Amino acid sequence: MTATETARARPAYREVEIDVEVRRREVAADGVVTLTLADPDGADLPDWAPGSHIDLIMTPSLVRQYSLCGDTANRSEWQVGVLLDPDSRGGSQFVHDKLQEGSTVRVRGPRNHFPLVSSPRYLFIAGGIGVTPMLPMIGAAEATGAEWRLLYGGRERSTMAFVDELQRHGPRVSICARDVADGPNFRASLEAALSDPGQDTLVYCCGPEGLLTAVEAACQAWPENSLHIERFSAKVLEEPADALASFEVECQRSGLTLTVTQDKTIYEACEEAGVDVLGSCMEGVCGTCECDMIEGEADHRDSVLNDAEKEANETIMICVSRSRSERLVLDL
Amino acid sequence: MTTSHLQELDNIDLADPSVWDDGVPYELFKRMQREAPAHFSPQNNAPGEGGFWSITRFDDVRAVSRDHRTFSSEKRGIFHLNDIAEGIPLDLQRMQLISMDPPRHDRLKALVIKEFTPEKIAGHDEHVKQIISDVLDSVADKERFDLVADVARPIPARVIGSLLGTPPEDDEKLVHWTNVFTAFEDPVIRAQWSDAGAIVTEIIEYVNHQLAERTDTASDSLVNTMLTAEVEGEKLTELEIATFFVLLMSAGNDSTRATYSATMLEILRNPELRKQLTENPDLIDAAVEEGLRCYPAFAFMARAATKDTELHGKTIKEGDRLLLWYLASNRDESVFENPDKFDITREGLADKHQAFGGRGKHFCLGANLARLELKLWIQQTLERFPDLELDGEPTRVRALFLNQYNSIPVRRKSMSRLREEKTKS
Repeated sequence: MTATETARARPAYREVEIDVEVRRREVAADGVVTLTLADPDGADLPDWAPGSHIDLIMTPSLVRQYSLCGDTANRSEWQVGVLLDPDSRGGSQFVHDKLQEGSTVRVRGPRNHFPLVSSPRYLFIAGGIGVTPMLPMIGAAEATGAEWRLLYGGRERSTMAFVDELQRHGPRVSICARDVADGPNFRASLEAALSDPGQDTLVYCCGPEGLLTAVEAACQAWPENSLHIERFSAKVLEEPADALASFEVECQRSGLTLTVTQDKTIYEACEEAGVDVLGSCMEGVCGTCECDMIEGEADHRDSVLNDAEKEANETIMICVSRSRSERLVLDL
Repeated sequence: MTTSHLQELDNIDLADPSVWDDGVPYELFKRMQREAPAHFSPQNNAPGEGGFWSITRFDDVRAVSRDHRTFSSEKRGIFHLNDIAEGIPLDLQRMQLISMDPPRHDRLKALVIKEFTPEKIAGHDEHVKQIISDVLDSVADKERFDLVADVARPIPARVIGSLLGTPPEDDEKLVHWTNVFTAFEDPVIRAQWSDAGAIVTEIIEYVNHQLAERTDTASDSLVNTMLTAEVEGEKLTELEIATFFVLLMSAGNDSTRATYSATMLEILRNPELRKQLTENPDLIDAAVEEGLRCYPAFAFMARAATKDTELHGKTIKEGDRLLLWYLASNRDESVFENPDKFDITREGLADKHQAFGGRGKHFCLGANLARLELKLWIQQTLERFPDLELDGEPTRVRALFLNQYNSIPVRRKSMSRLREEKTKS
């Protein structure tokens, strides 16, 4: 799944950014795969808490967020569940085509915008691939002995991931598939579960926009801070239509011309070629890598320059920004 | 006490220690932002310096920071005095990259910046955790201790010491040396040495000794990086290495110590915030950023104009000094709603505040390390000492440049109860 976060609401501490190997790639349902990721040398991965997600960095401009859905106690592996959207030209298609067992992918994280606050009772609500963060949350609820229920809705039973695993919990879990006529109805189950504000109950909900809006409305009468949601949608930061797949950068002082391909940043291309560059945050925030532009039109992707400065096109943050012209001449 | 709202802004001299008697003059800064965004202080206690302009608005701090051609760090250094600590003249300060302009600044910074990237710093996670845990162990059986002296000093000292490759037994010496370079105005701290020049010589000898010890052995310490580095085909001189060492030592010690202390003080005084962070440690990231915004370690950094230039109707003459007041810009009402409120829900905070500088070439080299340290440190303090409470009035360092506490007395509530019970029985 893809958890949208407003691009400006990044958390503070910069998480790890490492290459991991795809250890296993398993079909979890029709159109859903789970990827098991591990350090190529078997080193421990950073610890994480339920609700956390990681970024899969497919290319510098193709970054997608996926909730971690494995066991928090397993420090050697991370698991993510990915919905392969047939209409996607971006992330899930990349996962489908390029991420096979044994391949390597760069990840960043983990971060948590959907943390599980301790409570004696939980109501978990998942729509479709939004079930992924619920798995570790259920694990945590079980571990503390909290009471919990899961309402899990989907279009067709065959596309709903982790159903078998979840059904082991018996009546705590309601699987509501629209194509299963004699099963529970998702809407009716939601109405019943949310009609009465539960005592000391926290609601955690992840799924498509329609579900989130409905649950938000139903929770109006609940005590403040009862509801925790994570939005996800298929569209995050698509490549701008006029972005160039590759372009040339002339480093004028060094007398070198480099080709910057889609899979690397200007900063990385310069560093590989031995051109002296400075960089610190690597996400267009700090301004350390700013370079003067001599020629060309930048595709500014930083948050240092304001709109007028971007328009003026006199400088560029080479850790994230790219080019709209075939050639950029930089004072490097 | 200065009743700033009654005084004409024109008559206010920010270098006058009495302006700071009640702590940071936030209200005064707000007036300056509104009424005198380029304000001149005559700096009467150092008449030879020619005074300084105060830049307080967020956007201006950013613009001046980014324009290193018009506003030089090298011309007059980054302090408010040409000669600091009565013995460290401008020429010596200018051997540190913080007081240099590009391109030389960039060449020197490039030597070490690769050790401070997000990826490299993340690799120090376990090591930093261990240092914090060891120091917290050392106070764990005390009912009363000082959060600054006993906790906030030793932790960053060991973290930066381990990066520099200096042994733990020298940490206290490095903290003392750091004070010489940054806290020299505080009368109490100033009394700890008589001759700053002699201390510079002592540091040069110390660094040389460190280098001699490790020349033959492979080592990945920063001191070793400096020893082997070449800038334009030339090795750094002994003096350059020593001043580089001083910069990393002082920046590593002062900064994190200051922001940790002030943020912990905020948490101790704000039970609601403490409850939130204890119940949900994921929020500590946001608390670190808000701590950085509200309590930047350095009050300002200075620049000097390289040519006559206009700013808000005032003429800044070539050679004039400007202080970029992060204390003010981080609480600019036009950028941060309710700026004096410690609010961990602000959006995009990490990308916004100026605790690490106003953006540009001089952006803090150690920002990633500081964030890692602060996060782990606050997290462990809250976990280990859930019963910590204030035990007296904190005191501040009296130095214009530093936004720092000297002492924050604390006590462990549960231990005092334990003691009382023992006495009764």
